[in-house]
Amino acid sequence: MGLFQYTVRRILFLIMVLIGVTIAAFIISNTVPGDPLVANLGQTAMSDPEIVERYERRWGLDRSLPEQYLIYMSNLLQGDMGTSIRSQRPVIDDLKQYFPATFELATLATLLSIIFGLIFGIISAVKRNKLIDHFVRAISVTGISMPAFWLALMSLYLFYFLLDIAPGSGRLSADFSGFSLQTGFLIIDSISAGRFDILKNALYHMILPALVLAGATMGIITRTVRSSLLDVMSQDYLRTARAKGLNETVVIMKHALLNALIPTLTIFGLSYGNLLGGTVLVESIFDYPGLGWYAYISATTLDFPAIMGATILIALVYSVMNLLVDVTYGIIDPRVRY
Amino acid sequence: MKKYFALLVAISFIFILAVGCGDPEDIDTEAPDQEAETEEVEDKQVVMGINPEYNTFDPAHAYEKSATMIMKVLYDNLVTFEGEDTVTPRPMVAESWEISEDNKTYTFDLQEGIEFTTGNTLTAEDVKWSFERARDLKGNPSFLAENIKEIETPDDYQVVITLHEVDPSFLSKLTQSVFGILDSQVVQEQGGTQDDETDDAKSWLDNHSAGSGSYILDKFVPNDELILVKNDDHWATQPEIDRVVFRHVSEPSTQMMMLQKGDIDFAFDLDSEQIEMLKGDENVEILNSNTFSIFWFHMNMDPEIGGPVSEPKVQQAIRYALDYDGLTDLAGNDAFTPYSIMPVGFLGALDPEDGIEQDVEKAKQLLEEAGYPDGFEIETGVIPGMAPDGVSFMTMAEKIQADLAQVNITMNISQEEVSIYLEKYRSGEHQTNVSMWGPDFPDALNQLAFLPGQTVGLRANWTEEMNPELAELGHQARTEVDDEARKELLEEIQRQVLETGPYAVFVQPVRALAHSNDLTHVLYTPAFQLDILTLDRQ
Repeated sequence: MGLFQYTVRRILFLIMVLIGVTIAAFIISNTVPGDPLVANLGQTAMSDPEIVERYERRWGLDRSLPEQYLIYMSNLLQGDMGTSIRSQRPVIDDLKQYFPATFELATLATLLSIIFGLIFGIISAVKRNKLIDHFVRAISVTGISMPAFWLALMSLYLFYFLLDIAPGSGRLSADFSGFSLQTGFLIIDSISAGRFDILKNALYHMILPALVLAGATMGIITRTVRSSLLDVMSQDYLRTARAKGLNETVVIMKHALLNALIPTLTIFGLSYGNLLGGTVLVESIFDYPGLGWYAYISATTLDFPAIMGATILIALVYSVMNLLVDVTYGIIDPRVRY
Repeated sequence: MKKYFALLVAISFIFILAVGCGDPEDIDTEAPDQEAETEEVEDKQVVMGINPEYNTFDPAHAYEKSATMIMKVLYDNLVTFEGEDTVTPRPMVAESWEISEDNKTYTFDLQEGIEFTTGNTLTAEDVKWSFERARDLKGNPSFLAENIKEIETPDDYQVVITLHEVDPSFLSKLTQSVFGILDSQVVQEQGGTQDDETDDAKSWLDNHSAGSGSYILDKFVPNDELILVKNDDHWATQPEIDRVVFRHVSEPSTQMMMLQKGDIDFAFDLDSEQIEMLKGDENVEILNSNTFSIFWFHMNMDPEIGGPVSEPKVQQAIRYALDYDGLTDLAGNDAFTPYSIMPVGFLGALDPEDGIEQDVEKAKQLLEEAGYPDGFEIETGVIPGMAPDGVSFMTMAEKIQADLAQVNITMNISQEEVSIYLEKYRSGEHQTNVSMWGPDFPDALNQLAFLPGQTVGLRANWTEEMNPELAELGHQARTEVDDEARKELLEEIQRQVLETGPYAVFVQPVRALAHSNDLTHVLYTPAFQLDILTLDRQ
C-alpha cells in the first residue's frame, strides 16, 4: 500500500475515532450523578417550576438521551456545536477564544522540550556515565516527577516575585489590556497590527508557563533519546563509520541521531496532544485563559455542550498529531511498511 | 532532517532571544503608536485581581454575586441604597414615589433629562420595557420581578407598577441589577425582545452596556479581563477613576504576589492566612467587611432520613454541643456567630450576644432525655475545596465533628462534588450537612426561606404542618408593610427558629480584602461589594 492510500485510510479511521469519542463523552457526561440545573441556577430560581421548565426546554434537558445525542450530532454536522450552559455563548465562540491561547503555549512548550530534550539526550548518551550524564539525568527525572502545579507556583514565586525577571500572570500586562484580538493568536494579531511591543510582551508572558509545561516532556525526550542513541551507537554500521575515519560529530549527528529519533517521534506527537488538554493546572496558576481550563470548568458545572465541544476538539488535535507522526515515520524511515 | 532540525533550533533561539531582550519596564515605551496610550496612562486606572463567577452583563440574566458591583455602575435603577445602608431606599432615576393604600401600586416620578450612554433620552417607556423583559425572559434573577402584574406609563416621566401581592421588600428588590434600566431602542435594534424564545440581545449586552450608568462596558473577554471606562456625561455622579480593569487571576497566591509587586491594586480572593501574611506589608491595606452570608449545620426533620437528628431535643443538644468561639476563630477575619437565621445588618436581627453558647453538659443531658445517652452515628454532606467568603466548608465540618464527638455523636463526613451535594441538598436527602446561604437581595424577607414549608425549610423536610404557628408568622412578616411591626415579627421568628428549627447557625463571615495603600475611599458593602463610584487613588 502506498503512502497516499495509507493516509486516506488513516483519515477515515480518524473520523470513526471522533464519532466514538462523541458517543463516549456524551454517555459519560450524562450518566455521572449531578444535575446541570443545580450547577447553573440560583437557589431561589431553582424553586420556581416555570424557570426550571423553561431552562430544561431551552437546553434540551427534557428529552431522552439518544434523542439529545442525535440532535447534537445533526447540529454538529452543520457546524453548530450548541450553546454553553454556563457561559451562554456558542461553544464554537468559546473554543475560538480559548484554543489559540493553549495552542500558542503548547507549541512553544513542545518546541522548548524538543530542543532541550535533544541536546540533553545527546550529551547524556555521548558522555555516558560521566558526571554530566548524571547531572542531565537528574534534571530529566526532576522534570518528569515534579508536579506541574508545584513547579508553576515555585517558578512564579522565584522568577516573578523574588528575582523580578519574569512577568506575573495573564497573557499580557495590564497596560495592554485594551488590545483587541482578531484571530485569538496573540503572536499573529500583534504582528498583523504592527504592535511589536505587544508581541514582545506576549512572548515574555509565555516563556515561564511554557518552560514549566516543557519540563515533563523534556524529561521523557531526554531519556528516550539517550536510550535509543545508546542502542544505535553499539551497532555495527557505526563502528564501520568510525573505522572509515569520520569524525565523531558526524558519526553521532548524521548516522546515529537520525535512527535514534524514530522512537522519539511518537513521544513528540503524544505529548503535544497531552499538552493541549492537560495544561489546566499551569493555565490556572499563570491565569492563561486556555482550553484546559475551559474543559475543567465545563466538567465541574456539567455544561454538556461545552464538555462535548472541548472533548471533540482535543480528540481531533490528538488524532491529527498521531496521523502526522505516523506519516512522518514513513517518510523518514522507508523500512516502515503500511 | 538535519536541515529541519537546524531550522527548528534557529527559530527557537530567535524566539528566546526576542523574549530575553525584552525588559518588562521599557516595553510600553517603545510602541510605535504610543501617543494615544500615553494619554491613557495619565488617566486614573485601577486594576483588580479577581476570580469572578460573572459571565453575563445582561440585566435579565446576570445574577452572579461578583456581577453586582459591575452592574451597579453600568446601569441606573429607579431607587438605590447608599453606602452600607440596606434599609432605606433612596431616589435615583425616580425622583420620588408614592405607594397606594392597598400597598400594591407604586407610582414613580422620573428625573427628566437623563441620557443613556448611547445619547437617547431615558423615559418611562424604557423602564416598562426593561422590567417586563427582566420578568418574562425567565432568566436566573427573573423571580425577583415575577410579582409585577402590570406596568403603566401615563406620560414620559411617570411609571405606575402594580403588584400581584403586597411585598414590603419591593423597593429593596428594585435596587438589584435585574431592574437596571436599558435603552429599549438600542437593545431592540440588537435583537432584544421580551420573550426568551426570540430574545437575541444577550450576547451583545455581554460586550456592550446599554444603560445610563456612571461607567461603560468597554471590553469583556470571559475568564480573561473586563474593562470599564468612565461615562463623562453621567447625569448625577462623576467618579474619580477613569478606567477599571478586572483581571482574571484565579489563584489566590498569584493575586497576593501581584498585589505585593504592584501589578494589581486590589485582591478579592485571599484566604485568612494570606491576609495575615500581608498585615506586615506597608504597601498593602487590609479591609474587613461584613457579609450577609450565614453558615449552619443542617438537620433533616424527616425521621426516615434524619433518624435521631429529626428530634427537637437532639437538635437542641447539637446546638449546645458546638464550640462557637472555636468555629468563628477558624472562620478567621473577625467572623462571629449571629443570633439565628437573620444576619447582622438586616432589619430585626437580634443581638448575637443573646444567642446560644456552648454547654456540653446540657447537650449530654438533652441527649439522655431524648433516649440517646450513648450517642449515635450520623452522616454529613460537605463540599470539599470550597470556601465561600473565605470560610472553608471542610474546616468547619471537621471542627463540628470534633465538637459532636464530645457528646458521643459520631459524625461521618461525606465529601461530595458540588453538583451532587446541591442535588441531594435540594431534594432534602441529606441526613445532615454543612450549608451556606447568601441572600438574593438585601432584605430581611430573604431569610424567611428558612421557615417551615419554604425553600430552605423544605430542604430539611420541614413542612408547614410541622409548625403552622411559625409558618403563619412568616406569612404575616411577608406582607407587613409597617417596619416596626415587621421588625417585631422577625424578632419573634428568630427566637422560635433558635428553639425549634432544624439548624445550628454558627458563622456569619467577615470578608477580608487587600488593596494597595494608594487607593483611597475604599468602600466595600455586603449588598453591592466594592463601590467603584467612591474609589480614588492618591
